[in-house]
Amino acid sequence: MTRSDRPLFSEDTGNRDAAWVRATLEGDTEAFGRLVLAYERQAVSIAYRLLGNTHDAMEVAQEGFLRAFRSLGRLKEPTRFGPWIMRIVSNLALNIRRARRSASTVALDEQRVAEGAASGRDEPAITSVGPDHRAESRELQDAIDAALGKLPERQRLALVLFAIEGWPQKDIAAMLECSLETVKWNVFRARRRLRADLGDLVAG
Amino acid sequence: MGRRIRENDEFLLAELLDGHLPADQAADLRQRMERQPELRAAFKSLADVHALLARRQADQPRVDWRGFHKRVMDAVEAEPVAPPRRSQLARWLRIGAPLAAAAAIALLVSRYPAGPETGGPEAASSAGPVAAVAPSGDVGQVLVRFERPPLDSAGQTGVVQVSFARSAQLAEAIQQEDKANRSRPPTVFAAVPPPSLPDGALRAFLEAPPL
Repeated sequence: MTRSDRPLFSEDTGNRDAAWVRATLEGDTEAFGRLVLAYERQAVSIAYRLLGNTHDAMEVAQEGFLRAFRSLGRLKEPTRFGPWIMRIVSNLALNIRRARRSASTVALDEQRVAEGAASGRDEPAITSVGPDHRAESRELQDAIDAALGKLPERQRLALVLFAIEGWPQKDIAAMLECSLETVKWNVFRARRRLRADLGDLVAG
Repeated sequence: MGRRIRENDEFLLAELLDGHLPADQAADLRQRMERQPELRAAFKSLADVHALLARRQADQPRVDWRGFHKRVMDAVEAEPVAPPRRSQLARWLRIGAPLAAAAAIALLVSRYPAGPETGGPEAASSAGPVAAVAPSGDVGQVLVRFERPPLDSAGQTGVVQVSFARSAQLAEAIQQEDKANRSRPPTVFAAVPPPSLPDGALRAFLEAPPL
């Protein structure tokens, strides 16, 4: 299986972002608009993976950009704006997840189903999995969500970014401010636990 | 999932799956997989999990991106304060710091040993300029360093006279800070912006063009 190795945060994007950051700090709001444009899809997407519905994801991403704008002067390495904004957004999303958990006894998977229904969330029709083209039921999809929901946050984030969002592990390390080895280890542990939780559903 | 395999092998399988294993190790592992069914089974279930997750990529939020962008930028533009705390400092550093380094004393602080407390300006003559202003990297960390006038014959020290041309508020704050901290060594006084510094005084100082 091949994964995209095209980096999200390269030297080129870093230099580009740094120029926009500097321009923003000198009062050019349009430069910040370019930063938003460059990262808005990834930001919403990360929030969506962590929160499970589009409305909340957009709210969190917007709040993340606002916080970034307010704190831009404190960003020590403007070339690292990309990982920084992604970290802000994912932290906000994780905070909301924690708040949801403590505010409700509703199981996460049940809650997400309810939110999906309320927000008209589009569920793609996944009809098969693996080389066997085994039919994937709604039950399986919910089981995956539940298993993901049980993972420790760090593992979940690493796995979601790598396996669902298709991020190179190096970029995940940049965002999480950890080593590549730590990302590998978190992805490994997460997949291992997922295999165990999903049991026969994915048994070869 | 077959017999339990070693954690190290499991990790290698994941690396193989992700295409991160060096060619020689990958070939070795593939040979082992041919001989060991439990490795093959583990690899298959790992690949199945990965395939399930990868398929989730198709589940994307439905967003009107143009509308979202506009909403974010409207919110940004509605921010009462632009972010450029740093830009003001950067501008000051770029424009003002070189001059300040050379002529900080003349620009910023002059010293008169006599004030209301000491009763006369005569002791000022020997002091000379002794102050410097240096930003420490954060807008809230401007240091003002100087020597306090020596004790006069009556055993009193003078009042520091700060002559910021464009920031009377800051000058006053520094004087008050000094008055309140006379127990500090007289040779160096660091007026790191006290919490009581009036709003805007520091910014006004940083924004002021050098004299």
